[in-house]
Amino acid sequence: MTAFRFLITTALITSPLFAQFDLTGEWGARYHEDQPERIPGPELGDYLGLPITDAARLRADSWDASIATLPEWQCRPHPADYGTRGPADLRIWKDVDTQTQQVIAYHTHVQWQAQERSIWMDGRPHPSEDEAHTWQGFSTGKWEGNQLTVTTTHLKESYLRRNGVPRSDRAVLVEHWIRHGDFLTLVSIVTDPVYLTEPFIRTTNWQLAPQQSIDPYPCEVAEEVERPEGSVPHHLPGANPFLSEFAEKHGLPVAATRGGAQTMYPEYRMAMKGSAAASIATEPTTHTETEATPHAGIHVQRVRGNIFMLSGAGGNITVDAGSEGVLLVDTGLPDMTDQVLAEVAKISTKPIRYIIDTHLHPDHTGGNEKIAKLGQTIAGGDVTNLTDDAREGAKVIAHQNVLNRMSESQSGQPPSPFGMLPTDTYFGAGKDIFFNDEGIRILHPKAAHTDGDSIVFFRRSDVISTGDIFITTGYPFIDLARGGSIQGELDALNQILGLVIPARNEEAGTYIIPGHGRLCDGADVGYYRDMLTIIRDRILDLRKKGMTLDQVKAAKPTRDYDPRWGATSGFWTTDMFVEAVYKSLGEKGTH
Amino acid sequence: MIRFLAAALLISAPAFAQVDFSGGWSPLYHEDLPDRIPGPELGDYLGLPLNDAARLRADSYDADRISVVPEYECRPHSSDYSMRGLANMHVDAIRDPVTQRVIAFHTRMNFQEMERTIWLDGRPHPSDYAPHTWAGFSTGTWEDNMLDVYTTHLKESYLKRNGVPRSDKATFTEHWVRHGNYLTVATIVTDPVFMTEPLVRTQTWIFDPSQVIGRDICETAAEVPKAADYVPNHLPGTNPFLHEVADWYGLPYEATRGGAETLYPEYRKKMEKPEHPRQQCERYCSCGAEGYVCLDPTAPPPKKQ
Amino acid sequence: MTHEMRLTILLASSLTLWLGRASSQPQNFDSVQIHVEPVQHNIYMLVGAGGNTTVQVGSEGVLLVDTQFAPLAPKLMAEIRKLSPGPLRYIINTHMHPDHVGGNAAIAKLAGADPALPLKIIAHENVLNRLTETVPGQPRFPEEGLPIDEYATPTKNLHFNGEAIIIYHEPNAHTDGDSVVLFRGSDVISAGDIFTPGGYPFIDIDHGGSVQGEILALNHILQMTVPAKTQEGGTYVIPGHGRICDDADVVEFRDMVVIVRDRVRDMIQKGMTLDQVKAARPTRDYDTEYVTSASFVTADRFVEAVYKSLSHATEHGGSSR
Repeated sequence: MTAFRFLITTALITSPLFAQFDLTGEWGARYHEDQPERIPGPELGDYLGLPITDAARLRADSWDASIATLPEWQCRPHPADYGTRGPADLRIWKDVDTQTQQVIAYHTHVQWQAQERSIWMDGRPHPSEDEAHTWQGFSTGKWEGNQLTVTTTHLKESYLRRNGVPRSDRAVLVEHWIRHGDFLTLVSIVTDPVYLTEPFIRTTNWQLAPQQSIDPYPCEVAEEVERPEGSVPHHLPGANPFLSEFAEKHGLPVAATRGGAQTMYPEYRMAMKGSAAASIATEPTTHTETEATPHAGIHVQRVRGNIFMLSGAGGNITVDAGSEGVLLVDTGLPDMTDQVLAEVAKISTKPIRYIIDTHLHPDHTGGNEKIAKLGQTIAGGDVTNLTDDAREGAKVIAHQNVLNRMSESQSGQPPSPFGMLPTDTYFGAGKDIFFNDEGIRILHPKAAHTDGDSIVFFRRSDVISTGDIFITTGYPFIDLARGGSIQGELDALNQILGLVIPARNEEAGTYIIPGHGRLCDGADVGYYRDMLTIIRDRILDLRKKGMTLDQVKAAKPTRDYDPRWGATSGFWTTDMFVEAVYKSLGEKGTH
Repeated sequence: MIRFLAAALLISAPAFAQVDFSGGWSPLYHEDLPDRIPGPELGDYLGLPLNDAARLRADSYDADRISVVPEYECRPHSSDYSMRGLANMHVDAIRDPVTQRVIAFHTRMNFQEMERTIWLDGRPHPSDYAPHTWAGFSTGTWEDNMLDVYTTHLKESYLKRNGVPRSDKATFTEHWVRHGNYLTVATIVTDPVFMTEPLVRTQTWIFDPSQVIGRDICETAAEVPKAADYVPNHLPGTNPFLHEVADWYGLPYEATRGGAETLYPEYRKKMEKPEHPRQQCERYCSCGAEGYVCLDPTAPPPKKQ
Repeated sequence: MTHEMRLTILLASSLTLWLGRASSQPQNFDSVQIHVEPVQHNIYMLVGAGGNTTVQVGSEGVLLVDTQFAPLAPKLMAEIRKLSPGPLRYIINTHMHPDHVGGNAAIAKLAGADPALPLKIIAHENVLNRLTETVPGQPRFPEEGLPIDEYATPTKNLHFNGEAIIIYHEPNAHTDGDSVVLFRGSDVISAGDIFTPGGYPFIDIDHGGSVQGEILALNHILQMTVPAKTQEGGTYVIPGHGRICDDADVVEFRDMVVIVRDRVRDMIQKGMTLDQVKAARPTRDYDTEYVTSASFVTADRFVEAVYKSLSHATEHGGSSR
């Protein structure tokens, strides 16, 4: 008996650190589990078994499948959490360190849209929160016994189910990969503080398939349907006619099909009988206000080539550092200028030649005076002997309306001091300069978040600095008092999307530096544009129905986006945003 | 003995007899000052061997073009004209470190930072398909102590700053002569598109070691809104300014229309009488007098001391 | 002979073949040498006979803009292979004229196709439409050379060899199927025959060209070019025929087209007939620059195309702008 207990105990002792299973090989997907959802696809309105919040529900109810035909959506792949569910023949291989024979990383290649992921086994940390999110995210793994536990962060917004149920970009994925002989089982757990009230668990299986050969999966965007620029298909709240189809077809109570955590548990069957009275949990257990806590101090993120992003000093600052000197887009808050200069000096000690102000707000222009003074314009051509001081200070470029507004008193505030003012203004559609070996196009979208916005496009580097037209930290601040409007904001976002060319699968290629928040690419701007278009459409619809501003606010037209983008306190709240959209849609509700 | 010495002197200098042009050169504007500094009057084509095409191009030119069309704002002079106007120049000799021979002269002009390399190492000019530039591509060969420079691959530009064009098929030859502290460059432009014979002009500089040439940065800025397809020009026959030169200076109109014929002394014999003769000078009367560099056409002559 | 003379003779002969008139001497391609001119970054220009070929090379393979004539395919491929051994993935045709599309099928065949990485031939849909029209007495355009990856929207985007590439449709410019290609990372534009610095533009009225569209297209190219310093360099422009150019060279060409348009429009408004306009020689100050004895687009031909574009517009109620 004792010997037996001993055997059992030894068997139960966790395997030593190096007890690993080799996961590599060709794995053929097995669809017996959840086949109708994974292969033909889920029905509209089927939210069974998903622990979703009200916000997620409204997102899904608003979803119109037509959106998948938009150019920005056509080549989107499944993200890391869904990719293993859909056409999911899989290849896994590994990199091994020659010296130590330790696995540095596992790599996976999933059939649909040829998505590849690296699972880092070497203990490296996850990147900063300013790093761009990708479809596959950033994954690290460690062995727990004979299962590989993988944690993935930095995921782009995507879906839990292919009928519009969203999964936010704040979600974290934890996976357990278990090989048992020739079978591989994946347990994946999605935790989404924005759209789920509790973690969501799924399992997926593969069988070893040594004869498998996965084909390439090129995807090229082709516009086949002419539609007005900027149109985003969606159903207005309450207007989706398909939501009860699923229940009717399968003889289920509609309330059950609306999903929610309690529908996942056996106890629900009691409540289900006879009524739709089962209450459905609404709010997520954690509520996130705005973007993750900012880091202390300034964070420097390399974007590409000469281009860097500095965050943490107010609005994001773009730095272009090359052989001709330094160009900055925006200058942050006035009390952080010294730190900003210190960080810029670490990147380059060459003189600052240009500052471009994306707009006039003080968290973007606060450093103008001090930084410009330290800079140095290249000047010359002093034919008339009157240009002595032309080389002092950097040139500060902005749209004319920035100068106009900064030099007059605004809303009871005095005009800006002279040193803060732009020195070189432009009017019209934009201004081109050539600096550090590339053409830089400064473009002016009209009446966007203010009437003096500039977008800066570094053409060869393929990076766009958008100022506060695009942020990842909340709804855009549509500054009506300074000429902003929702329609101009949407036009500006569409203009940015018109410049974006992703490398592959709607990812990378043109990078976007937002006014606040992390580094992004075209897909992130696409989501923002979609969201704001849908909100604009909803508020316009409510206006047309004759609702007053208070009634519109009470209708909460943004409630499915609030958990990710909204704020109930602080400088720019959800109510203020709704009001700005309402007011800028004008008297007749026209654009 | 003398015959021998003379013969020795007449023998071409050996291949290595070269002149050093390097240094700072300050332009002297006594020659053609009104044309080079204040600028030529509209319709003044005197002394240019133009053909009819060039004449109509110049008559159609509207000076608004350089402010209204943004792409003209930062155009520099092309290398042939840059020797003429605002021509503070610095020349560097570039030597092959092994042979110590000068393989190129590099020139930099003040105005719009025109930089040029004159290759002396025998390299060929680029193909017909290579881009043309403002500076063009220049090679030089020594002819005793005179440097002959040949330049091709020029962008379209102008012969005179009142719209007289110089095409991108033109080439020019220069003869660089240093005589003590003076540098004279004779420039001969051959343009099969716009001229019936070569145009010869000369420019002179004085050596100036204290000269400092800085930067001359230009940045395009749209200051006047304009329709996208608007290019300021006078329709044929509508330019109202073409008789001004003849009137102001009491010249026969035909003479101001230029053409090779007007370059030569024989032309005076057949020249018409002016329509509006002038008895005394009324314009740029003080130019060049006692070194006076005039900018204002109506300024009185400087007072005699 | 100069490259302009060569191009105009070849353009003339290819067009007469195309238009089905009595063919001139078959062109001798044996003596044609391909000249390779590096442009900038990933881009090269190949000059042979026919329109310039643009080559983009990089880690993902090769992309071509325009393919000249079929008999030149072996020589072109030989030069392309010196630049890159990678797979040929894209051919973009700027328009349908035979000196730009003639080599499509032959080059596709020589390049060999990997079914996993197929060759895509892209052009505006009007090019595909015209190439598939049956013209009596004309051989059919080889199917393997047809641009079946046609596009019908204002732009088409690609990302290849590490850079964004945008194909812009320029409506009713020198034809109704014109594309201009911007290589955004390399900062190079392939302009096709919208821009031909050695001669007047061939505004092909029979195939949908118009001077108004030509001017809009040239202005669009100018909007895209960003010169480096002193209005030079920066974005390079590869013309349909002729040398590598930049912003300032396109400006000269655009100015010429606008000024000629202004003059012809002025004459139309004065009620002059086409013959009277031709007799007035509104291009006489540009002829010495743009016309040689062998030019296909003579002054008369150019004036006629401008006149017809503008008259057509006024007849149909549009402005003759």
